[in-house]
Amino acid sequence: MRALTFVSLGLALAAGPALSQDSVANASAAGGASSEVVTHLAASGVQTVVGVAAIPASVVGGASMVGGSAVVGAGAASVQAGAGLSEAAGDSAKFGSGPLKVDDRVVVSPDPAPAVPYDVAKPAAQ
Amino acid sequence: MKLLVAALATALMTGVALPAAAQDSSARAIVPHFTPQQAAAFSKQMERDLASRGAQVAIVFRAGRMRDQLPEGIAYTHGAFWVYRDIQTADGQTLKGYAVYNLYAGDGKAWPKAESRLVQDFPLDFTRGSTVNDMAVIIPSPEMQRRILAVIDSPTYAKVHNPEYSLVANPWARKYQNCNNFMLNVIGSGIWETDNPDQITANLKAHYKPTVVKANGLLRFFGPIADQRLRTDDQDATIRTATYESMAVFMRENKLLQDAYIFNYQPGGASPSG
Repeated sequence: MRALTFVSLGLALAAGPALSQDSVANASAAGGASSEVVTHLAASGVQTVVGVAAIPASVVGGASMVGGSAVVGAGAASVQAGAGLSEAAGDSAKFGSGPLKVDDRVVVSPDPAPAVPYDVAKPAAQ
Repeated sequence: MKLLVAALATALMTGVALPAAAQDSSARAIVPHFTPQQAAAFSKQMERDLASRGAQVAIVFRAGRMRDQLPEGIAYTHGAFWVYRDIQTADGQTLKGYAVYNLYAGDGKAWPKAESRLVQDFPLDFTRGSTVNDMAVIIPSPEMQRRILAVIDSPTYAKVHNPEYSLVANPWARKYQNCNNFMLNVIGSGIWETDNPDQITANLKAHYKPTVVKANGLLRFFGPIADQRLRTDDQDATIRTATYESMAVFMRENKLLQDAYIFNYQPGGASPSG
């Protein structure tokens, strides 16, 4: 049993580094915060904008925008609550109707929620 | 007991974390594969490719781990809907491009690792989490694009979300969900025009064939020790999960597909404007 416990602990420790790649803490030299990325990109001449909301696209020749449908954050903001699913996206004519235009600017997300320690430990007195 | 210990030691040495790598849906995952400039270029190349094909809705997959760290048969670890939108910017402008609709697992800080949330961000956030030079793309048929968008823009989008997260969630069960299972539920809602998650799960069990993850019973048993997101008590003897590969096959076989392909980063290709 002792050996089993030892190996199990080993499994947990070994798995740590392999799993850390998808961690927020694993910010690379690329810079973690959006504001840092903006700085990096600006330095190389890439134009960025901070995106604050994504709303249904108004496609020329297509149907209308779905009214009042700001879809932000959770992406779950309600649109025409109670409407049938098949109607909510409007006319199907706009789908598969040819190439779309995309802006050249790179959209970056706002920075994440604040995560600043309330206080930091002072160095021990010598 | 000796045999058990030997088997576990072997598993340890041969990469026990492999099953845990089946999916990778962490919020703001950033890996050092691309510089910010390369990630921005890759994201814009992907956007332009989708736009040139007239895709209002696409399903895009990235690999958040090197391929040699992934289970056999699984090439991508995170998928999300890319939706053509009018994007409002902080300085009051509106521009056209894609917004990305993700299911993200927690990082243990912002929210628990075993819990997921629905988060909308942008293509650059997506490509910054890629460890390889390619992404996979499914462009649904025009009618399926319309139906998926209708679900995304309705309360059904949140209704089919199950925040109980597992890296290898079984799409034939409702107990856990990962990014791909969630997308399958959104797609299923569009296909069968229902907002009933149990009905969608039953329909998926009848019509969708998941990817089988090769992992032996010992790894399944000890997986939760390695990472709390690896929960397999929704599985039977076979570990099933949703992947790009099995989702593309399902959509192709049922004529729900306009296109499915691999998109490669073009180092010398068009870059974002300066």
